[in-house]
Amino acid sequence: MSSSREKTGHEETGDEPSITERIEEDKRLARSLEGTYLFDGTRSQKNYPLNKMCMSLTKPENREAFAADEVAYCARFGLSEESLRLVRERDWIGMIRSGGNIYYVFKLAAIDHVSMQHVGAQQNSMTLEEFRAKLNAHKDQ
Amino acid sequence: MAEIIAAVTTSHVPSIGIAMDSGITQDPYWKPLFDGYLPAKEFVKELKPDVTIVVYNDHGLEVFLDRVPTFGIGAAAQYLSGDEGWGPRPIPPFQGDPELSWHLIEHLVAQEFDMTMFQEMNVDHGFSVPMSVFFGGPAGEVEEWPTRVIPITVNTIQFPLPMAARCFKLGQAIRKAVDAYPKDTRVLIMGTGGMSHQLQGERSGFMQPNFDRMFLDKMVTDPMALTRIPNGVFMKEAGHEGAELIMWLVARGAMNMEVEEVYQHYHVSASLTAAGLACYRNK
Ligand SMILES: [Fe+2]
Repeated sequence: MSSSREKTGHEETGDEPSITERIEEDKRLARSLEGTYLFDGTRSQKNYPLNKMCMSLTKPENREAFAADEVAYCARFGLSEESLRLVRERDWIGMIRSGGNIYYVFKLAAIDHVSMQHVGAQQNSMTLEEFRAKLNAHKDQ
Repeated sequence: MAEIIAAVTTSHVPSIGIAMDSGITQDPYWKPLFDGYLPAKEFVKELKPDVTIVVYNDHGLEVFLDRVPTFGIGAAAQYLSGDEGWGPRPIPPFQGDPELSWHLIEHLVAQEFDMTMFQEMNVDHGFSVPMSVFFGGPAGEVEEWPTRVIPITVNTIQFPLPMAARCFKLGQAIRKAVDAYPKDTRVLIMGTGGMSHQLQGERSGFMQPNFDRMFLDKMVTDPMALTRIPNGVFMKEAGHEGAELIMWLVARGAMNMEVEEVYQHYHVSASLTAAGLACYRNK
């Protein structure tokens, strides 16, 4: 092991954490945050079809096709039964948990003219007023 | 000779763009934010940059998860405001500077920054909102952009993100590349994104003004300390989406080690985001 490291010129001194340790520590910290879904490679593979469908909504003709028949439109992207339900119910937190990325999922919210504050409120199981109070509470910090 | 004349930084929130485009910047909710932008507009007006390098991240306009460039650069003659799902913003096209773009590409790659090159690209709110904030009138209105632009993209969506130190070094490489450009060109560098905010999950709505204030202070006094912050710590302290602050460090890296902060504004909040803005001159 040490010989192969010497060959690459990447021998470690022992004082600093190894690259593996650095990556693991970073992920451990990010994953320890409650209510946070680190969008790493594992998560990015989880619900690729949902994100791809949402990304397609950046084209007006696709938004029209989606509005005309949501189920048929989603079928084109191979959404799972569960994801179809999440989309139908506009279950934002469910989509995030299932592997949706907020930036793509938000394009679906935009179809209904739903703001990020609405999406945030629903993710927090709060009313819009309650969520706005949560946001405003940071003013005094 | 070309020269980086200043750096400016700001949050880039879609709803700030919507507020400008729908003429509600004087509503009680928005007025404190937009009033806070006025001195920054004056600063930029006096600078008269020929070119503005805008460091931002694409939020699902040009970049999907199928291919994610860690660092990208535009080399187009023109960039349009794209349709992110709610229609393009009603703003004039941005004029590029392909000659300087290709110079930057050559000089960045020669410094071992292997940029992804975009000859055709539209820009999203991450780019256009900061441009309106700094170059638009009091309500964000723009008839014609008074500067050419070069977009630099940073992946802040698909982890792993580039490390803060790497972003700072990209800024240093941009500085060297601009310094080596033979044409007299006044270049402004703009860092965008942040400050603390989280959009996804039950933690959405998280902000941390104490961290943001520390970050604003250290941008002036000790940027190297900021480059040692791991992205996991950015997520803890500034939110999953607040890790965008690494893009401020690209702009900071293009400046001298010693800078003067000409102006700063901080406002909680623009929708879910703690909105920060700052202007820096070299000392
Ligand atoms: Fe962003």
